[in-house]
Amino acid sequence: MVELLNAFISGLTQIFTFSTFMLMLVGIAIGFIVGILPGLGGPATIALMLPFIVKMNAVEAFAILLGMASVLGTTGDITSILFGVPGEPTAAATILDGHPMAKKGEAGRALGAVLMSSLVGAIFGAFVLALFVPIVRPLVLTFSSPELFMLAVLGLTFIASLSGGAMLKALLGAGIGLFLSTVGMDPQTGIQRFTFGQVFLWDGVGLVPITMGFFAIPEIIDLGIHRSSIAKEKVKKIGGVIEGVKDTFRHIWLVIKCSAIGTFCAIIPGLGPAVSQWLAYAQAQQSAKDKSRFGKGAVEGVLGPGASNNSSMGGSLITTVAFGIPASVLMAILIGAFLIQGLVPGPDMLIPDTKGGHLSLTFSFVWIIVISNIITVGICLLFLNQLVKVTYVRGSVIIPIILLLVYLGTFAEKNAFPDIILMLFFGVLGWVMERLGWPRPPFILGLVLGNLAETRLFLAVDSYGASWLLRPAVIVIMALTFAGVLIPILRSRRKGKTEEKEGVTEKEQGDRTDKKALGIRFTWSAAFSLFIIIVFAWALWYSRKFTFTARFFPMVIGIPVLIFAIIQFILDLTGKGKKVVEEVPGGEHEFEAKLPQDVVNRRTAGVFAWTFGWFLGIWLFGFNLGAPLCTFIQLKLGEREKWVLSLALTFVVWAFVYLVFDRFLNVPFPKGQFFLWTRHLF
Amino acid sequence: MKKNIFTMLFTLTFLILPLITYGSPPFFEGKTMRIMVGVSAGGGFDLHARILARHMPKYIPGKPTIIVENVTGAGGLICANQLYKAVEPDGLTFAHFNGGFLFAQALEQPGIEFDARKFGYLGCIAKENAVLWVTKASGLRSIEQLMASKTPVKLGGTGIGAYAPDSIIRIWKAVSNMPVQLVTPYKGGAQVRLAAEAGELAGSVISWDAMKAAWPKRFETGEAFVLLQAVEKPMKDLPKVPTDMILAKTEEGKKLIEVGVHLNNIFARPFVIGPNIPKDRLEILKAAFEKTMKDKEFLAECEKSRLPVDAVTGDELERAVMNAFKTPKPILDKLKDVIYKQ
Repeated sequence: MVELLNAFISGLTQIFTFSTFMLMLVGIAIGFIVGILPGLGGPATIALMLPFIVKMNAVEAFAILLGMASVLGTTGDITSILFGVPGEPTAAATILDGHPMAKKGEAGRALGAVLMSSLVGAIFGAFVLALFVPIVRPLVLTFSSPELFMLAVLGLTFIASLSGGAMLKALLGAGIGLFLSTVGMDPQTGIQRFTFGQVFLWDGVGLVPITMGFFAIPEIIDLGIHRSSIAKEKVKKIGGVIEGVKDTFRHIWLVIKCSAIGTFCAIIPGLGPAVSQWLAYAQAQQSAKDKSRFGKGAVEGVLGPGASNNSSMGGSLITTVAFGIPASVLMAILIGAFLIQGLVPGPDMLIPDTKGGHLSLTFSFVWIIVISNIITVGICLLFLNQLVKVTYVRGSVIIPIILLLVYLGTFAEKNAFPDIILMLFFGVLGWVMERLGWPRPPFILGLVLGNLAETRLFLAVDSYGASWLLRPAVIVIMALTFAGVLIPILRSRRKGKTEEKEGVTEKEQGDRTDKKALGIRFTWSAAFSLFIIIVFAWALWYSRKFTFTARFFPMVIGIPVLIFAIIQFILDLTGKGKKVVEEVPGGEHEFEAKLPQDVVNRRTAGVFAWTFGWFLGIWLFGFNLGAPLCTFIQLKLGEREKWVLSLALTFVVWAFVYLVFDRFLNVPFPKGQFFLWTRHLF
Repeated sequence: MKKNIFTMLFTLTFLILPLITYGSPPFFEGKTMRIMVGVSAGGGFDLHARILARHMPKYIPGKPTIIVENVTGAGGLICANQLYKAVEPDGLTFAHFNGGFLFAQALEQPGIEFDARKFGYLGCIAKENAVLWVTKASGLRSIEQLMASKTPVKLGGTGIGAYAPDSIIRIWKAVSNMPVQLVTPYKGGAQVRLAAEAGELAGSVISWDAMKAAWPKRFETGEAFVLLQAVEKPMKDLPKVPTDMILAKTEEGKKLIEVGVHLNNIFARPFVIGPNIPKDRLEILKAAFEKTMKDKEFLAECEKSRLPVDAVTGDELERAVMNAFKTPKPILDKLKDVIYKQ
């Protein structure tokens, strides 16, 4: 025990040597510069740093890397809130309420809340890392394939809380997400499932193009329709940063709970922040009294994901340090740093230095996370009020910038151009879902849990036969799952009865949807349901050629989805499905009601045209020329902005793309098609 | 004035003269070269490329800068395809990806858009050198015990087509009726090790260097054992562990192991350059690669990071790849069946 305490203190003192502390600051500074750029995020930058750490000692090396990583976890939330563009796929849940807050003019409050809750989460996660040192190995080893499968199932029960009342649609969405996770080469059989001969689909559909498309594109379209700034109202005091900080402490219990969720998910290989953000969001919603505020800018919806995201850093370091299992690309690069330093992740990292281990180094990680998060949040709080001003810039100027961030962010994650096409596809899908009242979070949750569920189910059966069902931990998780499903149902029944007594009418909600319905009986909703039916009928028919193992999961998911889709279609046709449309994200159509329908249609078409125009520009002329060109055309010819402004912004875009990405970060942009066609001319 | 002209002429002569006498500056001077790595950053595969990028420039005339770029997707196939199709044949870009794809072409697998026989080959820093290891809890201590096991021994895999563990285990099983069950796919070697620690698996077949780096003490303290090695001749630090040739009972069996395991071992981790590179540049790069493999700083850096160095020259590598394509059709057909069939 004394040894543990000694190592803990020694870990702290190690950071406060001059060179280590300076390197941590350098890491933080670099993190700031690149962290604010969506998609580029950590991995690419941290990989760039690897060669430099060869000559450093271990504490210095990790000071710079973890310092950088800590900032990246925090800054991803900023673009989510300000623009509705997820800075990282793990910051998507922050959009649901963070961006509506920005629209209400409360960007400052949302940012204050997300930063403060991030800080609490990070500190929580770091200290869990420290406390768990003695028990981390036995704890992680409890979770074998059967338990991991059951955890994936348990995670799926959170769909109910993410449904926003549209239960059938939520189930369908989750099913579609689960099904989509089977796209790619099945690693068990080597069979290509739904890849259409495209090698880039072998690994399945990436999370970045989906979250970018799903959340950012509908926001861009919304912005294009209103043609106003992001913030539609000016709020004085309540919109301030300090208010958000106070919110964190008003809901401190929620923040702690969500930090725990984030840490726990990060400890379990295969879960991680991509999952825990949604569980945290669901938790925030469940524990709130008035659930109808969610999706319209409830601060709890920002606090939950904010806390869980940053707490996952400590959690994922646990598996990285103790087992050498990276929970994310970022952690994989940290393992690379371990290797370069000649360190071996494993039991040695948890043994006191006096016994030949590196425990004080492990504890120094705890302190680096804590201190660099405090510094980061401190700096952010200083500049937040400036950042918030961006939400008051007029839409015509801000849209090209957001489009650039979306295209760059989507591309730069894997340097893959096909991801951009996927992003556009999911952008359209996300927009349709948003318009028709389909909750998007269950879809994402299904997608991120699908792989884990499928592989671990097969591994469990392969290893244990049917006896995996009898493992004690499996039974416990199963009980939790049933409780998770049944309790909300019972609760809502009871609530339903009381509401009936109080005479809450559903008519209001019904009226609102009628405005969206463009047809009489065969509505757009029905058309979309029919589309799902056709796609799934085809997909099931197509999968008949697979072997049993490759077909099993798609069948088990696909058949219920098909049945539910048929029910939904009938409900849509008969008009009964319209009762429940209170969607989780974005209930902001109240502004639109003021605009005549033909104006809305025209502007929607316009903003779609710009979005695809950008694609065309980048495809034809590459990023270096295409992006500035599109910016200029959109500003000068499209929006008729002044020459000075148009040229200045075009220059900024060019400098950003060419100097930062191409020259400095060496991002390998593809050549424009135009130049490939005309190659022989030059 | 006169003096000035004189100085100018003097300077010019001394600036231009060397250029005339030594010819034009080396092609690689002032250039930036790229290594495309087929996996994401952080693992041993990626680190090898990064360390190479730091030391190889010394041996290329003109000392270019070399940067590493991760081109991930489809286990590295996207990287290999891109190298073949989309890279300028100027000798400034080469790649490091899973060499199993080179063999996958010989086995007519889908998705391959290159011709391995047209690539240029620079060499390998290391071979895969896989071993069959088990945990103490498995109760197994020798290959004989394993062969006599009544119940199938569970060995972890990382997905169909992975040279180690999956392909090697499948080939061994096919030639010897080894009582093993391949449980697959775990996400990477680290997950396999974790499952073995948790008792879900008995062990697996993974690169000996990777195992030594991950479990530095366990093989010495008797917490894990090596039962068999997938190499032609026993490795230096495993003199007593039998090689997998003992499994082959027939001529065909021997050939399957020779080609499917040992030959593949040579080109498991290749550094490859695209087709149609000017011959002189290719030779410069091959020579530079070979010299780097003996560079003291390079070796020291690999050792510090516990990364193996067991170099293969460009010529050896190219011969191994060509030999794979010259394998008799019946053997290739059989291997295709064994490695990829359900």
